[in-house]
Amino acid sequence: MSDSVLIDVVGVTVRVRVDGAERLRTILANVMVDEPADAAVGPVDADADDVEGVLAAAVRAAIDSSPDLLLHAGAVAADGQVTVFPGASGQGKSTLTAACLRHGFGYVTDELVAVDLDTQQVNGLARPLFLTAWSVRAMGLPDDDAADDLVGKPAGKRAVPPEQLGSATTPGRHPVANVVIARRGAQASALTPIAAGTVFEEILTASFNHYVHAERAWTAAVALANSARGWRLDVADPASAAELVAGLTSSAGAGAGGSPG
Amino acid sequence: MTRVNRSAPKPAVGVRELEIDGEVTLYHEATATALVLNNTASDVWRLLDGHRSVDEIVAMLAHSYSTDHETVRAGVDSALDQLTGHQLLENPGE
Repeated sequence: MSDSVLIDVVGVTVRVRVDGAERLRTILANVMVDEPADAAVGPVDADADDVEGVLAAAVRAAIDSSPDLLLHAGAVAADGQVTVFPGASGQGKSTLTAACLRHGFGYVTDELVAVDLDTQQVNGLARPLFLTAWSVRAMGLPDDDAADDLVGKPAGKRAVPPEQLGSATTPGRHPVANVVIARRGAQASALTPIAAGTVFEEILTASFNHYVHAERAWTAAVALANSARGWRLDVADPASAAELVAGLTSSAGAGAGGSPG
Repeated sequence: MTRVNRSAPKPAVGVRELEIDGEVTLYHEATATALVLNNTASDVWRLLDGHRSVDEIVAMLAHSYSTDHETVRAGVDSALDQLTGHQLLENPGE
């Protein structure tokens, strides 16, 4: 391992050792820092050819050090408020997040949300969106197998900056207005209110580090479930699902229908 | 349904309680377990004080719900099973 990079995992700086960091610095520029403000966690070793794996290693290293409740979730912002999509890998978080950016939302993350335990305001790991070839086509982006932004090992996804989807990263922390539990495979997209208790359970299920913060994590999850609105989103296709999410806010819905950027 | 036979159930020490939209959520320090109770279980939890018997709790809820005792008893037993399973009751035996 001849090279080293510093990755900002929503406030926790992680040092990752790799062989050759040049491509990483290009793809992950948005989540890299030059020097840690405080002591960095790590180092952890990773394979530079597996960009998704590098980030996963950094997140694993940050879990026990984060002062926040970390959720496996996508998130988008509008009107200074955030809509969160908790869910495990493969449930379509990145695709739904990308489709929402097409509908006027600002980008927060497609992977990792950090909840402040005291205020329940959130920010996210603003890496490029990691989209499968299917998702890339669904977003109307050119499907180039030879692109130099391929990530994962095997390289099954592409790193897509939010700007390519006509959006931009929303900086800072913001309150959560909606928690949306998305389920793929519906005949028609539909949005249904769910109970706050269900939201609470989904938040804890999606949490990487609730055990670190124990009672404080429980208190924060309860407060978040009580303050945000909960929804089940049955997804038939990303565009119609994103349109429903945009309908939950005013300004995001007004930006719907933009052409591919 | 297993009939729970407890004289006067009482919350275990170290269990914290918060409300989520009218339902009770519990956090048990000792096991770091979080739990959301349904409406009936929430009502049962609120009535557990170490003095009221299970029969008294059933009678109170049957009156409150305007439902027969057997139906309520099944819900109360289920709630007590759930609470016992998560070690949220003190002296869960006789």
